[in-house]
Amino acid sequence: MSIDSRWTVVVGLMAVLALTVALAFFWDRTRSLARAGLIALIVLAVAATSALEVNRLTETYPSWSALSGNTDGEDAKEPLPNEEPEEPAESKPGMGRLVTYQVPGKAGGMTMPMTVYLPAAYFTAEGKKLEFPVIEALHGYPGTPQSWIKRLDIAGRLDREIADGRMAPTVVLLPFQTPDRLLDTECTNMAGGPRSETYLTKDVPEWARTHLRVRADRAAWGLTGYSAGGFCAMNLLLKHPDKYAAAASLSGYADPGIKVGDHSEKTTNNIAWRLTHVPIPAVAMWIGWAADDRDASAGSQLIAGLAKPPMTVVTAVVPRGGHSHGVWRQMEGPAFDWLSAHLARPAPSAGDS
Amino acid sequence: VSLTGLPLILLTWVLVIVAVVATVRWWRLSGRRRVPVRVGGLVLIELLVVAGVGLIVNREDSFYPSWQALGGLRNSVTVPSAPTGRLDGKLDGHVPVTWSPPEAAGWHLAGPPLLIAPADYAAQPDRTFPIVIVLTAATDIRPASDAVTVVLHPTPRTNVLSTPGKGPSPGAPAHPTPSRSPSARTNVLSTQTASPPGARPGSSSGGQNVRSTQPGTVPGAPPAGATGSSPGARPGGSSGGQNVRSTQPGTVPGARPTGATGSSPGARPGGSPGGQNVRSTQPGTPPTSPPGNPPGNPSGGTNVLSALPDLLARDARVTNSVVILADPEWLALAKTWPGHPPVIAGHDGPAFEKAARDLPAPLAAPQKLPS
Repeated sequence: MSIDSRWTVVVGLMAVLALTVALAFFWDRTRSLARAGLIALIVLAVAATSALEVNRLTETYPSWSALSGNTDGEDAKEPLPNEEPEEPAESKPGMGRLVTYQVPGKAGGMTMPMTVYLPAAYFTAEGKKLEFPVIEALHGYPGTPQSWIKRLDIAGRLDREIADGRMAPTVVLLPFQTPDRLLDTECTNMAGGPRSETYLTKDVPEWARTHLRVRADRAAWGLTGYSAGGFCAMNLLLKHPDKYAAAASLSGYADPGIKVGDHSEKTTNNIAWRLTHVPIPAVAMWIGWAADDRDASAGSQLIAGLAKPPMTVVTAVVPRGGHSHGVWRQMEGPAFDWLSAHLARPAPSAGDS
Repeated sequence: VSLTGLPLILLTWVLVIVAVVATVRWWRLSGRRRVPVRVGGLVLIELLVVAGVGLIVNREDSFYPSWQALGGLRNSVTVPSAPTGRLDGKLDGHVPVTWSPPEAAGWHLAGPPLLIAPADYAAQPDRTFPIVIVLTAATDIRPASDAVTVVLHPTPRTNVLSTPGKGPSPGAPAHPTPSRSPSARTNVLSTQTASPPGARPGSSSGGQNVRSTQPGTVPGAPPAGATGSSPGARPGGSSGGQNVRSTQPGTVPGARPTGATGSSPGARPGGSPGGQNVRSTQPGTPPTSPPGNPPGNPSGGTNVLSALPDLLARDARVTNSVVILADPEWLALAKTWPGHPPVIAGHDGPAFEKAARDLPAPLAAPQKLPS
């Protein structure tokens, strides 16, 4: 039984109920030590079941092995350079494919698995002559790429947007942004810690360019993310306008909300500071939030207000829904459509023309 | 009762106490009801404690600020209907169509702009296409595929930023002049309309003669404003002919805010390139603009041509993604375009292929949220 299935939580609830009945039934026939033991077990079971449900929502530990300390990438394959992912055997037409690879952190030092969405067009005869645009989709904290896959159904959504012509076939990368699930990096290079920014903006793009048929030029690279990932997407876009042309933030913040270790959370890793102290690059941003999400709404509006040409900003507001998956499920379609309209199209490789 | 309010949290914890007291009070109930009562009490306590903790956490981080948020959301995503252009009927592919928006008066071209739709323009009525602008003297343009091509024949006065008096001065086209106020702009326009737009630059003092020969070379492009050109493209509503131009000083100021008529997202603060509204506020930017802001940009405030994507969006299914192809003599002009779209030299096949690479694919109308 998978750790994030509904039935796991149901089993937890049954355990709580069984222990509760046991306590009520055996109270008069046992001594105080056994009673205390039973009470402790109940407390433990309630806490564990609650934790399972929270984990189910955030996908912090998408599998039992992840919980026991193994990285998620046991089943990830390390493809040989230029090895083509095989065509899916049993997929329906128009259905993209999720493949997991191990991406070594040559510059950033983080070696993590990364799931990749390959659009259906990637496998067609015509598509095999093309290089595709790329979107890096970043998860929240706590969270993992599995949150995009299981909670936000990113593959199904991308399939639909592409099939309806609102989005061009695009390769979407789902990297981890921290080597330690309980360490919130906010995609920064933490002083004395993981170098997440370098991994996401150097190692991941370089790996994708050498292993996948994707475009290498900035005009075809974009970022997106929800919650902490929204901050990441906007911050990385402003810090690396030479590598990315556009970003879409879903309920993102104006600052990382962590201590990076070099006080950069107040300066170079603070979007509000950047927009007022550093020359603004010619990039495009889509900023979405829910009107009743206090913090993300304040941060997003701050950024939209500070943005000046040549940077362009489009805003999108869900009337209510807070800081929840329900909001992001509504936002992801419009965000991906907008991104695709601001990224260069799939095209034959520049060398061929 | 608010999901994140203190009353609900306090109520929950008061109920916890009540449940504990009641469970203890009836713990030793005699008879068959003893175990069920105990189980009921304990389960109630467990539920209330979990709810109490959850409410506090939710209040701190406002994950679910309301009961509606918790219970599922009404979908606020909309799919706008497919756009239409007023020239859609004429733009059915690879045949140049003259395009004469009244605003072209301010562009000082050697002839009206030509529009060339891609081959599949009519076959894909739900798609909007990016724009390839060609600044050239040539007329035999092989149009772009998967983009709407706009051919502009610039003159030395097509300096998008300069005043008419300044146009002819050598080197001026490349150098943006300081921003002008919107009202100053309007004046520029109305004084210019005294001479027909696309007028021979020869009439302007010192105009290069090379250009002045050009209008004659434009095939099928009789002097600007000819009757064949875009019907309905004139908000002024005046009926065809060159007369339109002479009446323009009156119509032009009214015609300016046309950017607002399109769906143009450019009208937003800090909006996309080509948004006129954004630019008209720009003269105020210098005090707040950060040091090192690209020097070319603020002067985009008076760039008449920058409104082209918004104007074109009324008449054809286009986005405001732009690539500019320019003959060598117009490269400097192209580089003053606000928003810094890619600029490619020449207009041969490879240049068009390169332009296509830089542009988004033709797409159906995006899903939208309220903004």
